[in-house]
Amino acid sequence: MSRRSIRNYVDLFFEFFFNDFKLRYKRSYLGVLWAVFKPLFQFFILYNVWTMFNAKATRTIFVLIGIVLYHVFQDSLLYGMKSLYNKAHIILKIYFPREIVVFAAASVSLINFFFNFLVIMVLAVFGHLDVSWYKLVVGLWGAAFVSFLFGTAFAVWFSIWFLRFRDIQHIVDLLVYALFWLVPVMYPLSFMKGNVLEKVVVNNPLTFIMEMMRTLVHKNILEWSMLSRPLIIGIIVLTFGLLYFRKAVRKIAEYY
Amino acid sequence: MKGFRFKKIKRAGSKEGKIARIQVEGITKCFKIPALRYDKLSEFLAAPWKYLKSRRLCVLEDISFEVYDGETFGIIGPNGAGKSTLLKILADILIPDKGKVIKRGTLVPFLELGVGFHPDMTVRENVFLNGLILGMSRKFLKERFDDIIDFAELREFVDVPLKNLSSGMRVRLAFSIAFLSEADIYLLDEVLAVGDLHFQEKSQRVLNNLRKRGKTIVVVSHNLDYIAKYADRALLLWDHKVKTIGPAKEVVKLYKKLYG
Repeated sequence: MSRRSIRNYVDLFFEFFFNDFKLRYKRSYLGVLWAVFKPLFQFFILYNVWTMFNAKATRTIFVLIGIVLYHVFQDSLLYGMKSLYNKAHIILKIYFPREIVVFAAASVSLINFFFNFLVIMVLAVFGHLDVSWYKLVVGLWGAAFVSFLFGTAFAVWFSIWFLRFRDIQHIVDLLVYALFWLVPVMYPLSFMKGNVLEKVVVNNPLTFIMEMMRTLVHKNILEWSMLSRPLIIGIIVLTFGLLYFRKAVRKIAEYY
Repeated sequence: MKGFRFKKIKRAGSKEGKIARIQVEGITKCFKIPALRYDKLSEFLAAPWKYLKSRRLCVLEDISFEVYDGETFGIIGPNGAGKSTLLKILADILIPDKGKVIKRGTLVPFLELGVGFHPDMTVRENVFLNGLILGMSRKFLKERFDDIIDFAELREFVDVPLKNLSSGMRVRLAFSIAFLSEADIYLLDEVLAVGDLHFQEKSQRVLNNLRKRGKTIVVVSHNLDYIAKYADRALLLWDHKVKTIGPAKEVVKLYKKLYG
């Protein structure tokens, strides 16, 4: 092994992390503004659709929060999954712990979340959301972190598989799309009673994140215990994922 | 008989009292190569037996050698003999199927100059990206940033995107960053063949400087004159095996003779 210091690992992580984010908006005139503009526009559409259904502003804000949190999961999974492939030109030329690449790419989902978070805070003021500031900020970031961890945990596995079977990309696209409708964001959990998929929705770890935010937005109660299940499952999947990654990554240079 | 010959040459080339920076012990590396490639499942299903067959190609077979501290070690051989695979194994990018590689000290590989360079990022950003990938710290790069730029003669292009630089300028930049890396062992893969005459001269001076500072250098090259002139010892890879190891001039002579 070529020895590097921990300091270099940290530097390298942040270098990849900021570059991945910056390059996403390079060559565009509005640049990083897109990161704010996109969720705003999304909310604009949502707001109009939901007012058609006579929903209250609180409900619309919850739906937006739900979508944003789901995007944290989705982005960390997809960015992380494609990271080893996207960094092939570096990975094939020099050795360094490959985990850095996956974590840095997945972490970009948290920058996206940061801009979404700003938009949500502004809307919370204008929508007269009846939630204490402290709880909303802490709750949102807590939920985002667990979604991130959950997405990253799977990204660690998928990043290796993606190199071997490019089909994974399409399979994961479909899964991510299906999973969105198996999380009670666009509908309340009670909606699923008696449905064939009820068990799937009720046991879905992401459901717990959404339900925590729902209780927070509607009742101003922060129930941390609801995050424990996705957190524990995320940690387990991540731990085994890292063990698998350690072993499988030695051979990745041959998969490209 | 072969083993005897190998031992004799090894002894002739070893330096008494010097530590082996790189110790390669009997490495073998094989790749599975599918006989036919299919792009679609339908093609595969039409005649799966055609596609399931694969060939095992052993690129390296039972390779052993040592590189001693402070020496410049050349690896030569015809195309496809396994030189690049060997270098990738030394750089930990590929893992050998059999055997092991022991390295003593830090190692910086230059299988390509300017690893990670991104055309949309500025010269400044690329210096940090490339430097960090090579294992330097951000603090160190900040301190030496001016030296890097001056050596590359790119002072007026610091904030220009890399894509607007000529390829020669890019190579100059890559080389200046590479020059700063501090390691005990350097791996070079044909990186000296790039750039114009002025630059080649400059890069040769850099390399001589590394040699004078007692760094261990492993260099793969098709430039036999260069190997004969600068390398202390050389290894000739022939048909995926070690043909000879010995003083560079003799190995180059043998290689030329083999080619007739």
